Amino acid sequence: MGVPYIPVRGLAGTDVMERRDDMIMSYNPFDENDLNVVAKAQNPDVAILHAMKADEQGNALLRQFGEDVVVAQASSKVIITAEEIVDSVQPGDAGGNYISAINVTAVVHAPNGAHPTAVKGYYEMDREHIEQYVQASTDDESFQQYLDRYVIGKTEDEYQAMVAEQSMAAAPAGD
Amino acid sequence: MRTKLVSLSDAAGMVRDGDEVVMSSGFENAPMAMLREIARQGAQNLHVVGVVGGSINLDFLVGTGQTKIMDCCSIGFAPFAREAPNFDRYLKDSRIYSMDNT
Repeated sequence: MGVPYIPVRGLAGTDVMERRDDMIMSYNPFDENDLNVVAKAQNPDVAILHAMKADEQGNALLRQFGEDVVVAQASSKVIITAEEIVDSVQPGDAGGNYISAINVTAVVHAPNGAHPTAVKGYYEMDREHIEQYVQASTDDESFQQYLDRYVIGKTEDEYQAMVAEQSMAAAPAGD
Repeated sequence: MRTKLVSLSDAAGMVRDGDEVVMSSGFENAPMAMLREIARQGAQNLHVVGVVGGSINLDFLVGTGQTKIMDCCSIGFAPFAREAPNFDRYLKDSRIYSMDNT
């Protein structure tokens, strides 16, 4: 949006700003009786967004709903990972919400890159894997075991090979 | 035209210690491959922003010990769990600072 700050009337009366210094109570400059929460614009260093399609220039199709484009515009650097790299992505292309290359710093080809979450039109979420993740997250040691098994010391290709093998094994016979 | 195509590893290298990192996803289109690569490369003390909520995407970099500040409105894990498991554990142990961006 390019604004330095924004009033957030709905937060007045809450204690949200007690835990953060980028929101304060302030009077409306046009009405000395109108007290609101004012939030400083947030400009993250890096936005990370997973797209259905992208081209090498950085144009991409993001998920249909959500705040991805605004998030990208607010951020200093924008990394797009994409299921597919195609020759060209144009405004109005079907299947997603267009983001212009102007807003994108880097593009990465990451097929199945949202796993274990879903990408509409590509794959469903991997429920078994998310359940494994939840079980592993009960303490530091078991989550470290999860990371050692799937992530740390493994490449992304190795991760993808492992989860593909597990989902083949889990599929019912004849599926 | 100049290509912006880079490797997963080079892109993850753009995330530095102390960075504010924003995502807008949950159980759909979470940039998990990039998050796994950030875990491998090990940037520390991240300020992770969820716009506005999130799920496993926000929880993951808490579990890897790389998140110092969590800035979001909620982290949901339904139907798999009541709470985001790593976030819940780290928050109760005061190992991360949580801010509400509602």
